[in-house]
Amino acid sequence: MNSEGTTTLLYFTLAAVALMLLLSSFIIYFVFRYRKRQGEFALEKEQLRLEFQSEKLTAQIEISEQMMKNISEEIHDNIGAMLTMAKLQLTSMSPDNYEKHTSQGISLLTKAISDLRNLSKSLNGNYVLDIGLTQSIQRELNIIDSSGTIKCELVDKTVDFFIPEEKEIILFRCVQEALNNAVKHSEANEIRVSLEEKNRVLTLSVNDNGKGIDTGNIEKSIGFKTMNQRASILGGSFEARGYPGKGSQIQFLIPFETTFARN
Amino acid sequence: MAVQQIILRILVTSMLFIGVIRFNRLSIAFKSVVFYLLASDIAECIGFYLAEKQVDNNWVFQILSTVSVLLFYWIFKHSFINHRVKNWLKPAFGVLLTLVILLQTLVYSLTEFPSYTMVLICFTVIIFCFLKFKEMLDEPEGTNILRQSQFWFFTSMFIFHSGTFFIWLTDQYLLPNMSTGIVVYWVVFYLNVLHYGLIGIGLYLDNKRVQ
Repeated sequence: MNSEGTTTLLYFTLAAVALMLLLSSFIIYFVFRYRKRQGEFALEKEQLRLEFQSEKLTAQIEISEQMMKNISEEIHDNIGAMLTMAKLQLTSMSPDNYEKHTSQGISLLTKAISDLRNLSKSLNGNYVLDIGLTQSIQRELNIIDSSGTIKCELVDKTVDFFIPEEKEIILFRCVQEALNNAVKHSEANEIRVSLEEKNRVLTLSVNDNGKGIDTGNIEKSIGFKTMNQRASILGGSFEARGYPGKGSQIQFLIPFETTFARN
Repeated sequence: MAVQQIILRILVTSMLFIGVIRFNRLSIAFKSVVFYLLASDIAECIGFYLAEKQVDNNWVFQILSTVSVLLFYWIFKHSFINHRVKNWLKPAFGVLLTLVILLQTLVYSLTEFPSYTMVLICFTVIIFCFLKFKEMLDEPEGTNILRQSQFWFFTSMFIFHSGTFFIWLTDQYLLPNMSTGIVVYWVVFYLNVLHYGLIGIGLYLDNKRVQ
C-alpha cells in the first residue's frame, strides 16, 4: 500500500473511531439525561402527593367540623326542644291536669328518644356498613317521609356493585348532606334520590321540587363545600343545579374505576 | 465462508431461534423485529451464496431494502406512544416507500447496489430514533432505561444506520478512491455484530417484560 493509501486508511479509521465515540457519547448522555428526568418526575410526583395529602387532611378536618355543627344543631333544635317541652309539661303538672301532662310528657320523651336513636344511627358509620348504601339512603328517606310534609322516593337503577367501606360512608354522608339541605332550605314537598350507572360512572342525584337553590352563592355555603370535598375524596365530582321555582338537583359523579368494583 | 460471516450468521440465527421460540411472549413491535431478523438473515445468506458463485446479488438487497421499509414502519408503529409521531409515521414511510420504488425502477438496474435507497432508509430511521429517544425522555414514569427493550432496539438502529450512513458518505464523497476495503469490511462486521447484539438484548428484555 502506498503512502497516500496509508493516509486514507488512517483518516478513515480515525473518522470511524470518532463516529463511534460520538454515537456512544450520545447514548451515554441520553441515559444520564433520562435518569435525571426520571428523578425530576419522581420529585414532582412526591410533591403532588404531599399536596394532595395536605388537601385531603384539610378536607377531613372541615368535614368533621361540619358534622359536629350538624350534631349540635340537631340536639339543640330538635331533641333539646322536645326535652324542654317535656320538662315544661312535667313541671306544670298539677292534680287537675296530671293525666294530660303525664301523657304529653311521655309522648315528647318517646319522640326525643326516637330522634336520638335515629341521630345515633345516622352518625354511626357501622350501621351504614351493616345495611348497605341503598338501604341506608332508603332509611333516611323513610325518616323524612314519616314527617308527612315531604314525599320521598328512591330510584335505584344500578347493577349489584361493591364499594369499599370507607368510601361507602363518605358517599352516604354526601346524600345525608344533600337531603339535609333539601329539607331545611328548599321548601320542597317531594324529594327523589336516584342511583344510576352509565359509562362506568356512578351518578347519584338528589332532586327536589322546591324553590331552587341559588347557584351563584354556592361557593359560600359550607354544606356545598363539604359535599364537593367529599366527592373529590372519592375521585369524583359534584354538581349543583337550581331551577328557580321548579326545584334543584344535586349530583355526584363518581368514576367506577376509582371507587367501585363489581360484586 | 469467512470466519466473520460464520460468526455473524450464528449470531443472527441464534437470535432468530430465540425470537421464534418466544414469539408468542413478545410484544407486537418485537414480533416484527423477528421478521426483520428473518428477512435480513435470508437476504444475507442468499447474497453470500450468490457472491460465492460469482453471480450478481444486488437484486437481493434491493428486495431487502423494500421489505425493510415496510417492517420498520410496522415496528415503529407499535413502538411509539406519541400520537403526533404516530400520525407522521404513515406519510413519512409512504414517501420513503414511493422513493425507494421509484429509485429501484427508474434509477437502479437490478445489478446495481441500491446505495441511495439505503441512505434514504438510514435518514428516516435516524430521525425516528431521535423522536423515540425524545418520547422516552418525556415519559412521566418509566422503569430503568437499561431494562427497557425499546431502548436497546432503538440504540441498535441508531448506531447501525448512523454507521451505514458514515460508510456510504466516505465511500461516495469523502474518500471515493480509498484502498480501505479490508478496513471497511471489518467496520461493517463490527457494526453488524453491535446491531444484532443490541437487538438480542432488546429481544431478551422484551420477552422478560411480557412474562
